[in-house]
Amino acid sequence: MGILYALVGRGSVVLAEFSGTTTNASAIARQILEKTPGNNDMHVSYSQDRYIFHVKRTDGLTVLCMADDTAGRRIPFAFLEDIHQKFVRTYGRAVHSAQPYGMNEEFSRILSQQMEYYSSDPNADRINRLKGEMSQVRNVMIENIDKVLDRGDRLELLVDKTANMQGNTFRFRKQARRFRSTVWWRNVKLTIALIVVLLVIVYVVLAFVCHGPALPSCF
Amino acid sequence: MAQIPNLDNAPVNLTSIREHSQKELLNILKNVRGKKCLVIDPKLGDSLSLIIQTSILKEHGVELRHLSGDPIQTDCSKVVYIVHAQPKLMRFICSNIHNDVSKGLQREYHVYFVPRRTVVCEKVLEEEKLHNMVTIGEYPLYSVPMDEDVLSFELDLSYKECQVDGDTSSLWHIAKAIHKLEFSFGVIPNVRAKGKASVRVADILNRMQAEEPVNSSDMVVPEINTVILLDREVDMVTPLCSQLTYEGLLDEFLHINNGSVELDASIMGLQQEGKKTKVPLNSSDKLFKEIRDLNFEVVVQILRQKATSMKQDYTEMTTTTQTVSELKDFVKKLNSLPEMTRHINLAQHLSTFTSKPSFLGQLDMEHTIVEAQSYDICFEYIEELIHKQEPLTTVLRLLILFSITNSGLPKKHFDYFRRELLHSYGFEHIAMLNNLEKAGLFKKQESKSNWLTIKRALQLVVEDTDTANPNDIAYVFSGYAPLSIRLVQHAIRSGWRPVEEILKLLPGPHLEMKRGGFSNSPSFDTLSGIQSSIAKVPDGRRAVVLVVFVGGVTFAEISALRFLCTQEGMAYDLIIATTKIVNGQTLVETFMEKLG
Repeated sequence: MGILYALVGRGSVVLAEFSGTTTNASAIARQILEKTPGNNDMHVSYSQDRYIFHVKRTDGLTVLCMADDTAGRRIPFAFLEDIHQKFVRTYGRAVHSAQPYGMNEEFSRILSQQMEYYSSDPNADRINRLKGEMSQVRNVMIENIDKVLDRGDRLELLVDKTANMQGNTFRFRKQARRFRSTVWWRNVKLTIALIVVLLVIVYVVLAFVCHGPALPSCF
Repeated sequence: MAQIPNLDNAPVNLTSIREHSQKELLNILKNVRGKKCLVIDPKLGDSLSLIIQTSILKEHGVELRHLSGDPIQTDCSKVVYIVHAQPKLMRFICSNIHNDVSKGLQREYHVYFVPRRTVVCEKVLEEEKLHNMVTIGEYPLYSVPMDEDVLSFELDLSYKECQVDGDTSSLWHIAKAIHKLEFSFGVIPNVRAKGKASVRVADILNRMQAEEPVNSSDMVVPEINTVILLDREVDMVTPLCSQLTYEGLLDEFLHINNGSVELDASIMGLQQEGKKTKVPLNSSDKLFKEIRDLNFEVVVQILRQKATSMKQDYTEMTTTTQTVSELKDFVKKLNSLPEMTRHINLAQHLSTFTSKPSFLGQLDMEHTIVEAQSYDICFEYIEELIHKQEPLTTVLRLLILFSITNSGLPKKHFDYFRRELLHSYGFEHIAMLNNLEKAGLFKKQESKSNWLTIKRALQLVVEDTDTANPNDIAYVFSGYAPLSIRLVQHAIRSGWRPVEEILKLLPGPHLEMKRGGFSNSPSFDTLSGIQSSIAKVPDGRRAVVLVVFVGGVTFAEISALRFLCTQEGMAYDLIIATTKIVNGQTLVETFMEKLG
């Protein structure tokens, strides 16, 4: 339903009010004004049964409204801000010396219009609607990305492939040098083996010529 | 067919060259009214796919067929052949026509020769008595843009033709292609040439300028400042070494053909068993453009960084609340996912080759041979490869490299290797060995080797190359700087006069001259002349140097040239033109003969 009652006051003096329904909102509003003395700025909400009273005081001027609990806080406070600006713009400094209900005759109509506007006009919640749409867009984008990437599996596969290649990483030149030394060592081993075989053959021949393994005839 | 490369960022307007070729082809087709069948030499088909899309041909009512000995299967009454001017292809055409005649088919035949008609081909038609039935024309396709900075003359066999057969007709083709570039971009004032064939090309170019001059008064400043012509013969070491850039490795193992590579779909992560897929590789692929010229060591790191970074972004997206604009940024990054997937798959496939001990061993031997160390170790390694019957091209690459760096082999070793090769691989390869000897690639030693002197003077072996942040072109081979590109470096920076003694040690004569005002009068640049020749073109772009390789260029050399362009203080943009993009394997294969 939105905003049902609105009031503008100075201290505990009511300057204007409007009620959209027959309730005891007016009496409760007066109690709230009396319970919140002083001129300091404030920004509070009170709950009463299914309704919430939002109060905003700026520069000694108090704006109050009663709203359905489904209206949230953003719209009622936007309403209060709007009313405050309109009131100050209309009456200026007269606010501080006015008599009780001094502006009610003409400003209550404005209160009525604004209450209706903020209660029913869907544009009043433009930001919320935009946020909702953005959220949908974002979800759709995330879904599309998930589909394209098979929920990350494709990226996972690519990273794994590059990791495997990284495991094969080598510096061409360093590897080449190692291979060269391998070839060199193989040649060395071959040479040594050849020499050993040669020595063995020589020994066998000598052993045969010298009539025995200990080579007795030659020494 | 391969994707047509995007030429928008080329140093000179290569798009106009391609469009001109397109226009001429479409004119040929329009001259034949009605529906027609276009029969193309398969080799030429690959080149045409870089010139024009198949869809445009279909719009002109064209059916496409490949030329072979089999009869043409088509309902069209008009047949257009576009072929290289080779007698073998003429026999295919004659066979087709005879088949049609014997079936009573009445057809209209047109034959267009690329790039020009030859008497030999027309003689074949006359001998077969078909000259009256055929309309003959020319399709002057002299060069094909391969990429933003690469032109190909599509002369596959020119190196062997020059070196072994003594057929220098391809040199005329090269000069004609350069002359056509001059019509588009102005007379090239500075010419440098090294090598017998290159000097001849320069001479032919001068004669063409005399016979059919480009109006130099129309041009304010020629867009191409210098042309450097290099024979492949001058530097056979570089193509025989294993290339270590990403694009070079792709060519070594997967064989890049006209800007694309063909391989099993399963390698690319697709679920089509036994099917082949073609992957275009050119500058239109932004990720490929970024990594193609890097050493493969670095490519793996970069791909990993990119994949990890994207995965982190995804994790962050799913675990925290992000604004819509942040999600939009992530989606933009996702657009590069197909490219990343493609190259990670390719790199993974490459790493199965590069991590093999045999590849690493070969790499080591190449470096050892180039450094001219340990003659005996190299000898034994090659001998072992022959005994193991490793692939013949692998053995020949090392053997030729060994022979070149030693200025030939001692007679004893030379005869030994010939005998071992024939015993291991078959007597039919004796023709190949003869070709190699004739070309001077595998020969007996007759004089002391100059390789050590050349290596030191030009600083060809660079220790401790930083492959991630290279400061020298040696990174493309992880330590060996390509000799051909060193010559280009010197030509651009200080001219060839300081290295003239070294130039004389390399095969073939060299030439430096200025044209235009000094046409036909060779003269050497002075230092002040060089300084004054560094001129900015009017629109603020750098002057352009055209580097022409007669006999082929490798991707690693192209990468080294691109690296030079990015260096501080570089005053030129470089465009590369070549008879063909080659690698060690394709180069060796051109010397093999099919006997029987």
